[in-house]
Amino acid sequence: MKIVAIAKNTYREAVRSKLFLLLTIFSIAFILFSKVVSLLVISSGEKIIVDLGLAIIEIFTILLSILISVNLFYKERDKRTIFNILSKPISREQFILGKFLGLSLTLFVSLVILGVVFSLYALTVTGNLHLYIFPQLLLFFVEGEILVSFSLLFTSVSTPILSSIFSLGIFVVGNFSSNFLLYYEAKVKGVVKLLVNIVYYVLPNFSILNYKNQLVYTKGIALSNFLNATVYGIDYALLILVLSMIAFRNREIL
Amino acid sequence: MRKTKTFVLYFLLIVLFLISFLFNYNFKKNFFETNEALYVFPKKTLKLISLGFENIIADFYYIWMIQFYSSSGIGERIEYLPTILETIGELDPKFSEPFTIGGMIAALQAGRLDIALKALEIGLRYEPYEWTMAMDAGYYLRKRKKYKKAFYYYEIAAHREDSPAFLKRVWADIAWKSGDLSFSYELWKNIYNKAKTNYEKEVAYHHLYMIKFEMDKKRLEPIIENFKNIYGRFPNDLKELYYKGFIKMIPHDYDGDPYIYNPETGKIRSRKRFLWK
Amino acid sequence: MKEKILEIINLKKSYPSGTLLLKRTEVLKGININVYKGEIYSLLGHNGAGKTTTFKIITGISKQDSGEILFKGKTLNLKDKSKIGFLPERPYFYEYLTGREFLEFSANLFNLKKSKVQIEALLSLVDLKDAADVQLKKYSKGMLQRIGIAHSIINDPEFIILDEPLSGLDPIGRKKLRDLILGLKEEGRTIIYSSHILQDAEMISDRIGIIVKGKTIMEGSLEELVSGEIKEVDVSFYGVDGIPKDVDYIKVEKKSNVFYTTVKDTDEANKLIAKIIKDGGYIKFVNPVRKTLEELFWEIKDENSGNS
Repeated sequence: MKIVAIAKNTYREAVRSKLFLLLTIFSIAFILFSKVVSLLVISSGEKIIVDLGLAIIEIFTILLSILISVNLFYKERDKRTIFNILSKPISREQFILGKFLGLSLTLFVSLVILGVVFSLYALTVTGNLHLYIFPQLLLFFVEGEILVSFSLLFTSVSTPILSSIFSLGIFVVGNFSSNFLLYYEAKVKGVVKLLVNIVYYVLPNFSILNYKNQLVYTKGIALSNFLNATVYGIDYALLILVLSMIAFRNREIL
Repeated sequence: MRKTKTFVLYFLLIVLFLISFLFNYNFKKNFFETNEALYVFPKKTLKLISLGFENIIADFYYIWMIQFYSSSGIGERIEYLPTILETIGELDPKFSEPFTIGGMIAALQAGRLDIALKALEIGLRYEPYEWTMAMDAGYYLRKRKKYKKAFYYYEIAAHREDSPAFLKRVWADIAWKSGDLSFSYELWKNIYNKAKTNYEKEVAYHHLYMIKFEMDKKRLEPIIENFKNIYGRFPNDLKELYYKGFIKMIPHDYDGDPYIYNPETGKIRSRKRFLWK
Repeated sequence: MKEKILEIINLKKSYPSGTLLLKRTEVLKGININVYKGEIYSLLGHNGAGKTTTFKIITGISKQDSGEILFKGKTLNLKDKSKIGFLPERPYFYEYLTGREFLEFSANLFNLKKSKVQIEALLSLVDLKDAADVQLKKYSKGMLQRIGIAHSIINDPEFIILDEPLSGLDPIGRKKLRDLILGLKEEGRTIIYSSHILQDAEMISDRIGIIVKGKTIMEGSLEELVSGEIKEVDVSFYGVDGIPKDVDYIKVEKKSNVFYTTVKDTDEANKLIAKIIKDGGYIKFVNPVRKTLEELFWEIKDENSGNS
């Protein structure tokens, strides 16, 4: 019940924040704008709409996961509302878990909203609902979970700006490492090769969660791939969540 | 006083913005004209920095490509097309439209068949199961009457699993145009046997009839000429050629009917004529 | 023998500071506090003495470097927090919540399901029934303090910690809050609160602890702390022509043949009284002036900061 109370409160605070409102409005605006962009090509307009829609939703997920997590957590410390919670019979781990669940709920609800908006809009402009994007939206949710965990980890030990930069850096490296390995693994040797592989295995591999590029052609994700990606992503998110609980345990709250 | 100050500040803001806008505009004109090549990204670099957004970056890069080649006087810019398409292919290998459009721009707008073929070849490399690009290549070569090369591409297109039926017909037709009558004849026979509609059957029959006539005519006319050289006259009929050992059998048309032979001119003609060329 | 609710033994705490945070700054150098059941305990100290840090350690927001905290004789643990209520200094609450929602949320943090009636009763207690559905961001300072008090007792705690509950309030607000605190004591709860407003401590506290620069200097009831300290004595007399000589006067006034004097201490007072009686005069009143808490406080602070 305590964790649920914290989660509910976090969700309420998140959806009432100006940042959430701005991100949602801009995302919907860009989705609606995709039709205009699609007019610039000859016959692959529908592809452009789907690609753009998915890209916008993913960017929204990344920004929401990082900025809202960092902002809310920092606000708790800055405004000392955290004192009201930690002075209760609630462990720091329960607090982090409550925050994580609240942010996850925020992410999930926003993705559902954006997914529905996109589908309905796609129906009006292309004649199709493109429901096959929803499994990818679930993977975006998993991706967001990983970024939320990282944001909580970094914010529990650092300032908001640095936390945002680090979390964004994780996203960049997590997407960069697979392509880098693809091109350069055979060419690098010794310590560099070891470092590249360490980065690849230790940091999250977001490429596993990314099917949006094939989706417009395959119109679906194989169940085994989907389950694989989901299990990997959730496992990684929980790993980082545990790490953030450990980091926050001994953090001095001034 | 305060109102005046506010007005002056806003006025200054607008003026300064306009000045900066003008500078930027001039800079853009010069910069873009002299640095077109800056927008031609190496494929691996772009894929590395795409961070999982390969498709949308390919889409935008393609949209930019259309704008880049939309202005009049393509000139030297067409040279960048293969590199641009390599990058798009690397990002989104299944995205075939850029290659077909690129080929069209190179072949029809810039008049550069070599670049068009390069563009379509790149597309085929990334999407080997696509038929449209091979078909486009064949089409541009056919327009330039380069039938032998066109034959190669139409063969590729016709062999794709999901290629439309008409491509086989086009291929067979190109085979004839490139001079390979017997191969064309075999192709039309195959088309005839596998035809699913009466229309296809009819078209195939017309071609088979006329190609057989052309093949027979091509074979017979030198023999008739040879007869004349020996005997000083044209044979009375085709049977005479057979009896005198010039031919092993008397050719008939595709329906099994004898050809019409003119002993005064030594020319043969078919009983039926179809509009097929 | 009264039950000891809270015992703090030699609590020490330091924070990293300096370049690369390699140094450590001691903020608590030895805090010793004893709070008995049913009393109001004031923790007094100047700004930065370590009051809030002490409370943060008791409530688990911070961790001590060394020292013990015993709650009812046992080391304070997470479960004990369900019996403790806490109002932080300058409390900030979730601004978008209404007063009612905030109390419901606080109850949930204790795994308590408070009925509507119980919430209403709490709101009435702190005189916020009319503002229950107003968002906290629209509350005044006094209202925030009162909702803070309500939230600190939502779990019906035995022991309540209030960090500077009266600071920033006007006199009416302060009286209201003091009455609230006294009301909580009458319900049998034990309260420890911190303040640097000494008059409030004099008015409502049973026992006082004074900390200076992170160390407990003194602890006890008001009487224990200031009773033995008779600063000076006021002696008023009449029936004599003038004031007796050889007495160490601090102040002398005459109004309508009555003398109002203040002498240094009880010895001088006794000497003066004897001389007046010998001279045939009459004593109107003798009043020993005791040291106030404020004077004691300043004295202790000066001693400990090395000033004479």
